Amino acid sequence: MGNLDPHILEEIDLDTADEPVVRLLNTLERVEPPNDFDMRVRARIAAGRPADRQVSWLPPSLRYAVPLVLLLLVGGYFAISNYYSSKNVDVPPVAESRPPIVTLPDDKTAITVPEAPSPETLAVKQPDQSNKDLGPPSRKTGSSFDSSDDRPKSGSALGLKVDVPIRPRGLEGNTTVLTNSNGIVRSTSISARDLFDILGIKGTFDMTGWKVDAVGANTTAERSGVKTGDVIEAVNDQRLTAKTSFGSNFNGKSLRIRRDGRTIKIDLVH
Amino acid sequence: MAFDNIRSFGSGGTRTSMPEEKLSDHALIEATRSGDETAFAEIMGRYRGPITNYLYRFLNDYEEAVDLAQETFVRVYFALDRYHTQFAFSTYIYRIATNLAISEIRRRKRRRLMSLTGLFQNEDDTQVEFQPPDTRPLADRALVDSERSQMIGRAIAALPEKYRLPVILRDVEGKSYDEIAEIMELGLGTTKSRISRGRGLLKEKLQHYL
Repeated sequence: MGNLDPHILEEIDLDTADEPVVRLLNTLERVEPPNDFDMRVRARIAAGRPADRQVSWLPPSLRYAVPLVLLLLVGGYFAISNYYSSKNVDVPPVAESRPPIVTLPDDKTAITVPEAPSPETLAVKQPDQSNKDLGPPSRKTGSSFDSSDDRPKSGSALGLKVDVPIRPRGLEGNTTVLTNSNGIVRSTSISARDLFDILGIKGTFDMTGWKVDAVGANTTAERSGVKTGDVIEAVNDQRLTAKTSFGSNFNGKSLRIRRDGRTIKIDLVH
Repeated sequence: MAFDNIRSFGSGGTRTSMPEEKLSDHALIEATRSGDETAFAEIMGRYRGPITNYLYRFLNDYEEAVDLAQETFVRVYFALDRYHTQFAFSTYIYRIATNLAISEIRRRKRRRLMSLTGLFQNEDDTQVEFQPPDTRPLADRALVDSERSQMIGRAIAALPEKYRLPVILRDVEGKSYDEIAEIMELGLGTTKSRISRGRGLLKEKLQHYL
Protein backbone atom coordinates (compact mmCIF):
# COMPACT_ATOMS: atom_id res chain seq x y z
CA MET A 1 0.00 0.00 0.00
CA GLY A 2 2.90 2.37 0.76
CA ASN A 3 4.17 2.14 -2.80
CA LEU A 4 0.89 3.22 -4.26
CA ASP A 5 0.35 6.60 -5.81
CA PRO A 6 -1.03 9.04 -3.23
CA HIS A 7 -3.80 9.83 -5.61
CA ILE A 8 -4.88 6.23 -5.64
CA LEU A 9 -4.46 6.02 -1.90
CA GLU A 10 -6.94 8.85 -1.59
CA GLU A 11 -9.37 6.94 -3.74
CA ILE A 12 -8.99 3.92 -1.57
CA ASP A 13 -9.67 5.99 1.51
CA LEU A 14 -12.84 7.31 -0.02
CA ASP A 15 -14.01 3.84 -0.89
CA THR A 16 -13.10 2.56 2.51
CA ALA A 17 -15.20 5.20 4.15
CA ASP A 18 -18.21 4.08 2.15
CA GLU A 19 -17.30 0.41 2.15
CA PRO A 20 -20.69 -0.94 3.24
CA VAL A 21 -22.47 0.78 0.38
CA VAL A 22 -19.75 -0.08 -2.11
CA ARG A 23 -19.89 -3.70 -1.06
CA LEU A 24 -23.65 -3.71 -1.47
CA LEU A 25 -23.46 -2.25 -4.94
CA ASN A 26 -20.86 -4.78 -5.88
CA THR A 27 -23.38 -7.53 -5.26
CA LEU A 28 -25.50 -6.35 -8.15
CA GLU A 29 -25.53 -8.79 -10.97
CA ARG A 30 -24.81 -7.55 -14.39
CA VAL A 31 -27.37 -7.62 -17.15
CA GLU A 32 -26.42 -8.61 -20.65
CA PRO A 33 -27.77 -7.32 -23.92
CA PRO A 34 -29.99 -9.56 -26.02
CA ASN A 35 -28.49 -11.86 -28.59
CA ASP A 36 -29.66 -9.78 -31.51
CA PHE A 37 -28.02 -6.65 -30.22
CA ASP A 38 -25.37 -6.45 -32.90
CA MET A 39 -27.86 -7.18 -35.65
CA ARG A 40 -30.12 -4.39 -34.49
CA VAL A 41 -27.25 -1.97 -34.37
CA ARG A 42 -26.26 -2.86 -37.92
CA ALA A 43 -29.86 -2.46 -39.01
CA ARG A 44 -29.98 0.99 -37.52
CA ILE A 45 -26.69 1.92 -39.16
CA ALA A 46 -27.97 0.68 -42.48
CA ALA A 47 -31.11 2.79 -42.06
CA GLY A 48 -29.04 5.95 -41.99
CA ARG A 49 -27.84 8.57 -39.55
CA PRO A 50 -29.43 8.46 -36.14
CA ALA A 51 -32.42 10.73 -35.81
CA ASP A 52 -32.33 13.04 -32.87
CA ARG A 53 -34.89 12.16 -30.24
CA GLN A 54 -35.79 15.79 -30.09
CA VAL A 55 -36.91 16.42 -33.66
CA SER A 56 -37.66 20.07 -33.35
CA TRP A 57 -35.41 22.68 -31.90
CA LEU A 58 -38.27 23.35 -29.58
CA PRO A 59 -39.13 20.83 -26.90
CA PRO A 60 -42.55 19.28 -27.39
CA SER A 61 -44.12 21.22 -24.57
CA LEU A 62 -43.11 24.52 -26.12
CA ARG A 63 -44.38 23.49 -29.52
CA TYR A 64 -47.85 23.41 -28.02
CA ALA A 65 -47.40 26.05 -25.35
CA VAL A 66 -46.09 28.84 -27.60
CA PRO A 67 -49.11 28.92 -29.93
CA LEU A 68 -51.43 28.64 -26.96
CA VAL A 69 -49.78 31.58 -25.21
CA LEU A 70 -49.93 33.64 -28.39
CA LEU A 71 -53.60 32.84 -28.75
CA LEU A 72 -54.30 33.91 -25.18
CA LEU A 73 -52.39 37.15 -25.65
CA VAL A 74 -54.23 38.07 -28.84
CA GLY A 75 -57.60 37.10 -27.42
CA GLY A 76 -56.90 38.97 -24.22
CA TYR A 77 -55.92 42.08 -26.15
CA PHE A 78 -59.18 42.11 -28.09
CA ALA A 79 -61.24 41.37 -25.01
CA ILE A 80 -59.66 44.21 -23.05
CA SER A 81 -59.96 46.69 -25.90
CA ASN A 82 -63.63 45.80 -26.38
CA TYR A 83 -64.25 46.16 -22.68
CA TYR A 84 -62.77 49.63 -22.49
CA SER A 85 -64.43 50.79 -25.69
CA SER A 86 -67.82 49.70 -24.36
CA LYS A 87 -67.20 51.63 -21.17
CA ASN A 88 -66.67 54.84 -23.15
CA VAL A 89 -70.07 54.51 -24.82
CA ASP A 90 -71.76 55.64 -21.63
CA VAL A 91 -69.77 58.81 -21.46
CA PRO A 92 -71.99 61.66 -22.68
CA PRO A 93 -70.62 63.84 -25.44
CA VAL A 94 -69.09 67.11 -24.40
CA ALA A 95 -71.53 69.98 -24.82
CA GLU A 96 -70.44 72.29 -27.57
CA SER A 97 -72.78 75.16 -26.86
CA ARG A 98 -71.83 77.94 -24.53
CA PRO A 99 -74.04 79.42 -21.86
CA PRO A 100 -75.83 82.60 -22.83
CA ILE A 101 -74.30 85.94 -22.01
CA VAL A 102 -76.68 88.43 -20.58
CA THR A 103 -75.75 92.10 -20.42
CA LEU A 104 -76.74 94.18 -17.42
CA PRO A 105 -78.18 97.74 -17.58
CA ASP A 106 -74.94 99.65 -17.08
CA ASP A 107 -71.44 99.32 -15.85
CA LYS A 108 -72.25 101.10 -12.62
CA THR A 109 -74.67 98.49 -11.54
CA ALA A 110 -73.23 96.53 -8.68
CA ILE A 111 -73.80 92.92 -9.12
CA THR A 112 -73.17 90.46 -6.37
CA VAL A 113 -71.92 87.34 -7.96
CA PRO A 114 -70.76 84.13 -6.38
CA GLU A 115 -67.10 83.98 -5.53
CA ALA A 116 -66.47 81.04 -7.75
CA PRO A 117 -68.59 81.36 -10.84
CA SER A 118 -68.79 78.31 -13.02
CA PRO A 119 -67.63 78.51 -16.62
CA GLU A 120 -71.29 78.40 -17.57
CA THR A 121 -71.60 81.95 -16.26
CA LEU A 122 -70.05 83.03 -19.52
CA ALA A 123 -73.46 83.12 -21.16
CA VAL A 124 -73.98 83.54 -24.85
CA LYS A 125 -76.56 86.11 -25.91
CA GLN A 126 -79.55 84.61 -27.64
CA PRO A 127 -80.35 85.73 -31.18
CA ASP A 128 -83.51 87.64 -31.87
CA GLN A 129 -85.47 84.97 -33.59
CA SER A 130 -87.85 87.45 -35.11
CA ASN A 131 -84.97 89.07 -36.88
CA LYS A 132 -83.49 87.09 -39.68
CA ASP A 133 -80.25 89.01 -39.54
CA LEU A 134 -78.31 87.06 -36.99
CA GLY A 135 -75.52 89.49 -36.57
CA PRO A 136 -73.56 89.97 -33.37
CA PRO A 137 -75.66 91.35 -30.58
CA SER A 138 -75.51 95.11 -30.19
CA ARG A 139 -74.75 96.88 -27.00
CA LYS A 140 -77.68 98.83 -25.70
CA THR A 141 -77.70 101.56 -23.15
CA GLY A 142 -80.33 102.66 -20.74
CA SER A 143 -82.36 100.61 -18.48
CA SER A 144 -83.03 97.12 -19.31
CA PHE A 145 -85.53 94.65 -18.10
CA ASP A 146 -88.03 96.87 -19.81
CA SER A 147 -91.18 94.96 -20.19
CA SER A 148 -92.13 97.13 -23.12
CA ASP A 149 -89.21 95.81 -25.07
CA ASP A 150 -90.60 94.47 -28.26
CA ARG A 151 -88.07 91.76 -28.43
CA PRO A 152 -89.90 88.51 -28.19
CA LYS A 153 -89.35 86.94 -24.85
CA SER A 154 -89.25 83.52 -26.33
CA GLY A 155 -86.22 84.44 -28.32
CA SER A 156 -84.19 85.96 -25.53
CA ALA A 157 -82.29 84.29 -22.84
CA LEU A 158 -84.47 84.20 -19.75
CA GLY A 159 -86.64 86.94 -21.32
CA LEU A 160 -84.12 89.52 -20.22
CA LYS A 161 -82.72 92.46 -22.12
CA VAL A 162 -79.59 93.73 -20.59
CA ASP A 163 -76.80 95.82 -21.96
CA VAL A 164 -73.80 95.16 -19.73
CA PRO A 165 -72.28 91.77 -20.31
CA ILE A 166 -71.57 89.58 -17.36
CA ARG A 167 -68.01 88.59 -17.56
CA PRO A 168 -65.96 86.10 -15.58
CA ARG A 169 -63.79 87.56 -12.89
CA GLY A 170 -60.65 89.11 -14.28
CA LEU A 171 -61.92 90.06 -17.71
CA GLU A 172 -61.99 93.75 -18.71
CA GLY A 173 -64.96 95.75 -19.89
CA ASN A 174 -64.04 95.66 -23.52
CA THR A 175 -63.84 91.93 -23.66
CA THR A 176 -65.40 90.54 -26.78
CA VAL A 177 -68.55 88.59 -26.32
CA LEU A 178 -68.06 85.09 -27.43
CA THR A 179 -69.87 84.22 -30.60
CA ASN A 180 -69.01 82.05 -33.54
CA SER A 181 -67.72 83.40 -36.82
CA ASN A 182 -71.22 84.11 -38.13
CA GLY A 183 -72.14 86.04 -35.01
CA ILE A 184 -74.62 83.36 -34.08
CA VAL A 185 -74.64 82.81 -30.39
CA ARG A 186 -75.08 79.33 -29.23
CA SER A 187 -77.54 78.38 -26.54
CA THR A 188 -77.31 75.87 -23.73
CA SER A 189 -78.92 75.14 -20.39
CA ILE A 190 -78.02 77.06 -17.28
CA SER A 191 -77.99 76.00 -13.70
CA ALA A 192 -80.14 77.42 -10.94
CA ARG A 193 -77.11 79.09 -9.43
CA ASP A 194 -76.37 80.86 -12.71
CA LEU A 195 -79.98 81.93 -12.98
CA PHE A 196 -79.82 83.48 -9.55
CA ASP A 197 -76.60 85.20 -10.50
CA ILE A 198 -78.40 86.77 -13.40
CA LEU A 199 -81.30 87.81 -11.19
CA GLY A 200 -78.92 89.29 -8.71
CA ILE A 201 -79.20 86.67 -6.03
CA LYS A 202 -76.41 85.05 -4.12
CA GLY A 203 -77.70 81.82 -2.71
CA THR A 204 -76.82 78.44 -1.38
CA PHE A 205 -78.89 75.31 -1.52
CA ASP A 206 -80.06 73.72 1.66
CA MET A 207 -82.36 70.76 2.02
CA THR A 208 -85.55 72.65 1.16
CA GLY A 209 -84.50 75.18 -1.41
CA TRP A 210 -82.10 77.96 -2.35
CA LYS A 211 -81.48 80.25 0.58
CA VAL A 212 -80.87 83.87 -0.37
CA ASP A 213 -77.65 85.03 1.19
CA ALA A 214 -77.53 88.42 -0.53
CA VAL A 215 -79.49 90.47 -3.04
CA GLY A 216 -77.74 92.77 -5.46
CA ALA A 217 -78.70 96.37 -5.59
CA ASN A 218 -80.76 97.49 -8.55
CA THR A 219 -81.24 93.95 -9.77
CA THR A 220 -84.26 92.03 -10.84
CA ALA A 221 -84.32 90.28 -7.50
CA GLU A 222 -84.33 93.56 -5.60
CA ARG A 223 -86.99 95.08 -7.76
CA SER A 224 -89.08 91.95 -7.41
CA GLY A 225 -88.90 92.06 -3.63
CA VAL A 226 -86.59 89.21 -2.87
CA LYS A 227 -85.00 89.60 0.53
CA THR A 228 -82.02 88.12 2.26
CA GLY A 229 -83.05 85.06 4.20
CA ASP A 230 -85.74 84.04 1.78
CA VAL A 231 -85.69 80.44 0.65
CA ILE A 232 -86.53 80.08 -3.00
CA GLU A 233 -88.39 76.83 -3.44
CA ALA A 234 -89.46 77.06 -7.07
CA VAL A 235 -89.10 79.10 -10.20
CA ASN A 236 -92.16 79.31 -12.43
CA ASP A 237 -93.62 76.66 -10.09
CA GLN A 238 -90.78 74.34 -10.96
CA ARG A 239 -89.42 72.82 -7.76
CA LEU A 240 -85.76 73.53 -7.30
CA THR A 241 -83.01 71.12 -6.34
CA ALA A 242 -79.28 71.59 -6.06
CA LYS A 243 -78.87 70.43 -9.63
CA THR A 244 -81.86 72.08 -11.27
CA SER A 245 -81.07 73.56 -14.67
CA PHE A 246 -83.05 75.53 -17.16
CA GLY A 247 -83.12 75.62 -20.90
CA SER A 248 -81.61 78.44 -22.82
CA ASN A 249 -85.03 79.77 -23.71
CA PHE A 250 -86.18 79.84 -20.14
CA ASN A 251 -88.24 82.87 -19.21
CA GLY A 252 -88.33 83.44 -15.49
CA LYS A 253 -91.65 84.82 -14.40
CA SER A 254 -92.15 84.06 -10.76
CA LEU A 255 -90.49 82.73 -7.67
CA ARG A 256 -92.06 80.73 -4.89
CA ILE A 257 -90.44 81.84 -1.69
CA ARG A 258 -90.69 80.74 1.90
CA ARG A 259 -90.33 83.63 4.30
CA ASP A 260 -90.85 83.60 8.02
CA GLY A 261 -92.62 80.31 7.81
CA ARG A 262 -95.00 81.47 5.12
CA THR A 263 -94.92 80.60 1.44
CA ILE A 264 -95.36 83.51 -0.96
CA LYS A 265 -95.18 83.93 -4.68
CA ILE A 266 -93.24 86.81 -6.21
CA ASP A 267 -93.54 87.91 -9.79
CA LEU A 268 -90.25 88.88 -11.28
CA VAL A 269 -89.97 92.50 -12.27
CA HIS A 270 -87.50 92.56 -15.14
CA MET B 1 -8.04 -9.41 -22.36
CA ALA B 2 -8.25 -5.89 -21.18
CA PHE B 3 -11.96 -6.04 -21.70
CA ASP B 4 -12.24 -8.57 -18.86
CA ASN B 5 -11.16 -5.91 -16.40
CA ILE B 6 -14.34 -4.02 -17.17
CA ARG B 7 -16.48 -7.02 -16.32
CA SER B 8 -14.83 -7.94 -13.10
CA PHE B 9 -14.56 -5.65 -10.17
CA GLY B 10 -13.56 -6.19 -6.62
CA SER B 11 -14.39 -4.32 -3.50
CA GLY B 12 -12.96 -1.02 -4.66
CA GLY B 13 -9.46 -2.23 -5.35
CA THR B 14 -6.76 -0.50 -7.29
CA ARG B 15 -7.34 0.55 -10.81
CA THR B 16 -4.59 1.48 -13.19
CA SER B 17 -4.62 2.71 -16.74
CA MET B 18 -4.39 0.12 -19.47
CA PRO B 19 -2.47 1.45 -22.44
CA GLU B 20 -2.92 -1.75 -24.36
CA GLU B 21 -6.63 -1.46 -24.02
CA LYS B 22 -6.60 2.09 -25.25
CA LEU B 23 -4.30 1.23 -28.08
CA SER B 24 -6.44 -1.67 -29.07
CA ASP B 25 -9.58 0.45 -29.05
CA HIS B 26 -7.93 3.12 -31.11
CA ALA B 27 -6.60 0.58 -33.53
CA LEU B 28 -10.07 -0.84 -33.88
CA ILE B 29 -11.48 2.59 -34.51
CA GLU B 30 -8.89 3.28 -37.16
CA ALA B 31 -9.70 -0.02 -38.78
CA THR B 32 -13.41 0.79 -38.73
CA ARG B 33 -12.71 4.11 -40.40
CA SER B 34 -10.92 2.21 -43.09
CA GLY B 35 -14.04 0.15 -43.66
CA ASP B 36 -13.29 -2.86 -41.54
CA GLU B 37 -16.68 -3.98 -40.23
CA THR B 38 -15.21 -6.72 -38.07
CA ALA B 39 -13.27 -4.08 -36.16
CA PHE B 40 -16.51 -2.35 -35.29
CA ALA B 41 -18.03 -5.67 -34.34
CA GLU B 42 -15.13 -6.15 -31.96
CA ILE B 43 -15.83 -2.74 -30.49
CA MET B 44 -19.42 -3.74 -29.96
CA GLY B 45 -18.38 -7.00 -28.43
CA ARG B 46 -16.25 -5.23 -25.91
CA TYR B 47 -18.64 -2.54 -24.87
CA ARG B 48 -22.21 -3.71 -25.45
CA GLY B 49 -22.39 -5.47 -22.10
CA PRO B 50 -20.95 -2.68 -19.96
CA ILE B 51 -22.89 0.00 -21.79
CA THR B 52 -26.15 -1.93 -21.52
CA ASN B 53 -25.55 -2.67 -17.86
CA TYR B 54 -24.61 0.95 -17.19
CA LEU B 55 -27.73 2.26 -18.89
CA TYR B 56 -29.90 -0.33 -17.19
CA ARG B 57 -28.67 0.70 -13.76
CA PHE B 58 -29.27 4.33 -14.63
CA LEU B 59 -32.71 3.99 -16.18
CA ASN B 60 -33.89 0.90 -14.31
CA ASP B 61 -35.60 -0.14 -17.52
CA TYR B 62 -34.15 -2.95 -19.57
CA GLU B 63 -35.97 -2.19 -22.81
CA GLU B 64 -34.96 1.41 -22.73
CA ALA B 65 -31.41 0.52 -21.75
CA VAL B 66 -31.01 -1.82 -24.72
CA ASP B 67 -32.48 0.75 -27.05
CA LEU B 68 -30.18 3.48 -25.86
CA ALA B 69 -27.18 1.15 -25.92
CA GLN B 70 -27.85 0.40 -29.56
CA GLU B 71 -28.29 4.09 -30.21
CA THR B 72 -24.93 4.68 -28.56
CA PHE B 73 -23.14 2.42 -30.97
CA VAL B 74 -24.97 3.90 -33.93
CA ARG B 75 -23.82 7.34 -32.90
CA VAL B 76 -20.29 6.12 -32.37
CA TYR B 77 -20.30 4.68 -35.86
CA PHE B 78 -21.52 7.83 -37.53
CA ALA B 79 -19.20 10.02 -35.49
CA LEU B 80 -16.04 8.06 -36.19
CA ASP B 81 -14.63 10.89 -38.26
CA ARG B 82 -14.97 13.27 -35.35
CA TYR B 83 -13.45 10.95 -32.76
CA HIS B 84 -10.12 12.14 -31.43
CA THR B 85 -7.67 10.03 -29.59
CA GLN B 86 -7.11 12.55 -26.81
CA PHE B 87 -9.60 10.62 -24.73
CA ALA B 88 -9.77 6.96 -24.11
CA PHE B 89 -12.40 5.31 -26.25
CA SER B 90 -14.18 4.01 -23.18
CA THR B 91 -14.49 7.58 -21.95
CA TYR B 92 -15.85 8.59 -25.32
CA ILE B 93 -18.46 5.86 -25.57
CA TYR B 94 -19.56 6.23 -21.96
CA ARG B 95 -19.99 9.94 -22.48
CA ILE B 96 -22.26 9.34 -25.45
CA ALA B 97 -24.25 6.80 -23.45
CA THR B 98 -24.48 9.23 -20.51
CA ASN B 99 -25.79 12.04 -22.68
CA LEU B 100 -28.39 9.77 -24.21
CA ALA B 101 -29.47 8.61 -20.77
CA ILE B 102 -29.79 12.16 -19.49
CA SER B 103 -31.83 13.14 -22.54
CA GLU B 104 -34.11 10.19 -21.93
CA ILE B 105 -34.61 11.17 -18.30
CA ARG B 106 -35.56 14.70 -19.31
CA ARG B 107 -37.87 13.41 -21.98
CA ARG B 108 -39.59 11.29 -19.36
CA LYS B 109 -40.04 14.34 -17.15
CA ARG B 110 -41.65 16.31 -19.97
CA ARG B 111 -43.98 13.45 -20.74
CA ARG B 112 -44.89 13.19 -17.09
CA LEU B 113 -45.61 16.92 -16.95
CA MET B 114 -47.82 16.76 -19.99
CA SER B 115 -49.76 13.85 -18.62
CA LEU B 116 -50.25 15.70 -15.32
CA THR B 117 -51.66 18.76 -17.07
CA GLY B 118 -53.99 16.53 -19.00
CA LEU B 119 -53.77 18.89 -21.94
CA PHE B 120 -51.54 17.09 -24.30
CA GLN B 121 -51.18 13.57 -25.44
CA ASN B 122 -48.00 11.86 -26.41
CA GLU B 123 -47.06 12.60 -29.96
CA ASP B 124 -47.74 9.09 -31.16
CA ASP B 125 -50.96 9.05 -29.14
CA THR B 126 -49.92 6.24 -26.84
CA GLN B 127 -50.06 6.23 -23.08
CA VAL B 128 -46.79 7.67 -22.01
CA GLU B 129 -46.61 6.00 -18.63
CA PHE B 130 -47.19 2.45 -19.80
CA GLN B 131 -44.18 0.22 -19.59
CA PRO B 132 -44.71 -2.99 -21.56
CA PRO B 133 -43.51 -6.06 -19.69
CA ASP B 134 -40.19 -7.50 -20.72
CA THR B 135 -40.99 -10.95 -22.02
CA ARG B 136 -37.54 -11.66 -23.36
CA PRO B 137 -35.41 -13.74 -20.99
CA LEU B 138 -32.35 -12.03 -19.61
CA ALA B 139 -29.14 -13.97 -19.47
CA ASP B 140 -28.90 -13.58 -15.72
CA ARG B 141 -32.50 -12.90 -14.99
CA ALA B 142 -32.72 -15.49 -12.22
CA LEU B 143 -30.06 -13.65 -10.29
CA VAL B 144 -31.46 -10.24 -11.08
CA ASP B 145 -34.85 -11.25 -9.73
CA SER B 146 -33.62 -11.43 -6.18
CA GLU B 147 -35.37 -8.95 -3.96
CA ARG B 148 -32.22 -7.29 -2.77
CA SER B 149 -31.06 -6.56 -6.27
CA GLN B 150 -34.39 -5.05 -7.07
CA MET B 151 -34.33 -2.88 -4.00
CA ILE B 152 -30.81 -1.73 -4.72
CA GLY B 153 -31.74 -1.05 -8.29
CA ARG B 154 -34.71 1.02 -7.20
CA ALA B 155 -32.63 2.89 -4.69
CA ILE B 156 -30.09 3.74 -7.37
CA ALA B 157 -32.81 4.80 -9.77
CA ALA B 158 -34.23 7.07 -7.09
CA LEU B 159 -30.99 8.99 -6.75
CA PRO B 160 -30.78 12.40 -8.34
CA GLU B 161 -29.25 12.25 -11.75
CA LYS B 162 -26.07 14.05 -10.80
CA TYR B 163 -25.32 11.51 -8.07
CA ARG B 164 -26.63 8.43 -9.81
CA LEU B 165 -24.30 8.62 -12.78
CA PRO B 166 -20.98 8.82 -10.93
CA VAL B 167 -22.02 6.21 -8.38
CA ILE B 168 -22.91 3.73 -11.11
CA LEU B 169 -19.73 4.46 -13.03
CA ARG B 170 -17.64 3.99 -9.91
CA ASP B 171 -19.30 1.23 -7.95
CA VAL B 172 -21.02 -0.72 -10.73
CA GLU B 173 -18.79 -0.18 -13.71
CA GLY B 174 -15.57 0.14 -11.76
CA LYS B 175 -14.34 3.28 -13.45
CA SER B 176 -11.62 5.37 -11.91
CA TYR B 177 -12.36 8.81 -10.49
CA ASP B 178 -10.36 10.42 -13.24
CA GLU B 179 -12.23 8.61 -15.95
CA ILE B 180 -15.55 9.40 -14.33
CA ALA B 181 -14.57 13.07 -14.23
CA GLU B 182 -13.75 12.92 -17.94
CA ILE B 183 -16.95 11.13 -18.82
CA MET B 184 -19.08 13.59 -16.91
CA GLU B 185 -16.89 16.56 -17.83
CA LEU B 186 -16.53 17.57 -14.22
CA GLY B 187 -13.67 18.43 -11.96
CA LEU B 188 -12.13 15.64 -9.94
CA GLY B 189 -13.15 17.18 -6.65
CA THR B 190 -16.73 17.58 -7.81
CA THR B 191 -16.78 14.02 -9.01
CA LYS B 192 -15.57 12.68 -5.70
CA SER B 193 -17.98 14.78 -3.70
CA ARG B 194 -20.89 13.66 -5.83
CA ILE B 195 -19.93 10.03 -5.46
CA SER B 196 -19.63 10.47 -1.74
CA ARG B 197 -22.96 12.22 -1.54
CA GLY B 198 -24.63 9.59 -3.72
CA ARG B 199 -23.30 6.81 -1.55
CA GLY B 200 -24.55 8.64 1.51
CA LEU B 201 -28.05 8.81 0.05
CA LEU B 202 -27.94 5.13 -0.82
CA LYS B 203 -26.83 4.35 2.67
CA GLU B 204 -29.94 6.06 4.01
CA LYS B 205 -32.19 4.20 1.60
CA LEU B 206 -30.57 0.78 2.07
CA GLN B 207 -30.07 0.80 5.81
CA HIS B 208 -31.93 -2.46 6.05
CA TYR B 209 -29.46 -4.22 3.81
CA LEU B 210 -26.25 -2.82 5.20
